[in-house]
Amino acid sequence: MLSWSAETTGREVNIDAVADPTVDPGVPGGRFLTALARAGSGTNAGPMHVTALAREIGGAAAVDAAAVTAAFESFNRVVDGTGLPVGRAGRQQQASVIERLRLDRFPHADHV
Amino acid sequence: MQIYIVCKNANQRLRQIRMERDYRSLVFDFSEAPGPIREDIVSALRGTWEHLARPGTWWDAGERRRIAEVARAARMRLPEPATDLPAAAVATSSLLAATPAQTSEAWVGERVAALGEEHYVEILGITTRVVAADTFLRLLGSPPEPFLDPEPGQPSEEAVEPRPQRIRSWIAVGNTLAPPFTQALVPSENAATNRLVHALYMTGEEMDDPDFRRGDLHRTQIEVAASTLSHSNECFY
Repeated sequence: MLSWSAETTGREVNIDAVADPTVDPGVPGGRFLTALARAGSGTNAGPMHVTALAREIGGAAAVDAAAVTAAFESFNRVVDGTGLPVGRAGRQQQASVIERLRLDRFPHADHV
Repeated sequence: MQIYIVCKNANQRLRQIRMERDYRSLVFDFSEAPGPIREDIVSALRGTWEHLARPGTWWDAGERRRIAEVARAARMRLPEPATDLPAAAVATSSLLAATPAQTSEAWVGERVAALGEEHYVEILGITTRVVAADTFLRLLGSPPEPFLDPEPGQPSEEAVEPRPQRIRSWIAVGNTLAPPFTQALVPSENAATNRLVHALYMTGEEMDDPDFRRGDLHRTQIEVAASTLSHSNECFY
């Protein structure tokens, strides 16, 4: 979805930022967005991440970014809990992203 | 006619009591948030808590609350609450809440054999919504929202006919292999999960728009957050 949105709308996004916290994705508030998302998946999340992001992109947008993070806490569990396959076509389509981010080391990478 | 009026008044009173109770006891305190919370999010969170407090399709409301308590504790690596739930139900909610990427076809198969596929799906739905709501609250500096008292009543045990097929997924999800349809075996859970994630993320129609904006947040920013979170959770999908 990230590559698709960036390519279709002509925006440059460095997808390495998804896997590497030292990389700036190149979108407004980028480093703060990735920090918020990483905090969301852990157990130490607190308001400091969303407050820092709010200084960069505004309070309402920061709250919405927290909402997206929360939504994917659900999505991830839904797909991993039901064994939803990516499919061969999806895997082929995303081959370069899988290789670049080394996603094939993830536990469900072989489930197509 | 008299009986009808009595019943109508009783129903209205029951609805009023339920509304008074829910609006009195649900807090969702966002006083620490750095910006306004959209009304559709607040409404979806309230709806999630109210749905959780009602008898489900395969678990009663007390069991649903205990599943939610197990999920909440497991997600935060807190000690497991004492519960009379079946061990397989506790194990399902715990692992899905804490380390979802650790599931496997064999693991899901064992839980389904012990619980039944529909019971498993209802646990999945409850767990994922509680984890999502708690994450949102935690990120905004809000305290965890207490669960409502469970309402009395038995689960409806309404089976879906015709039964969705299992194609390449580990659970029967039907022909459409996509997240919005994964709880097809328990439509009430499927609808509840979709209502919440549509408010938190976006609707299916909005997902088709690569240039979608949520206020000042562009789709690329939304997907940076979504992809980073998914990577942290080692979610391959």
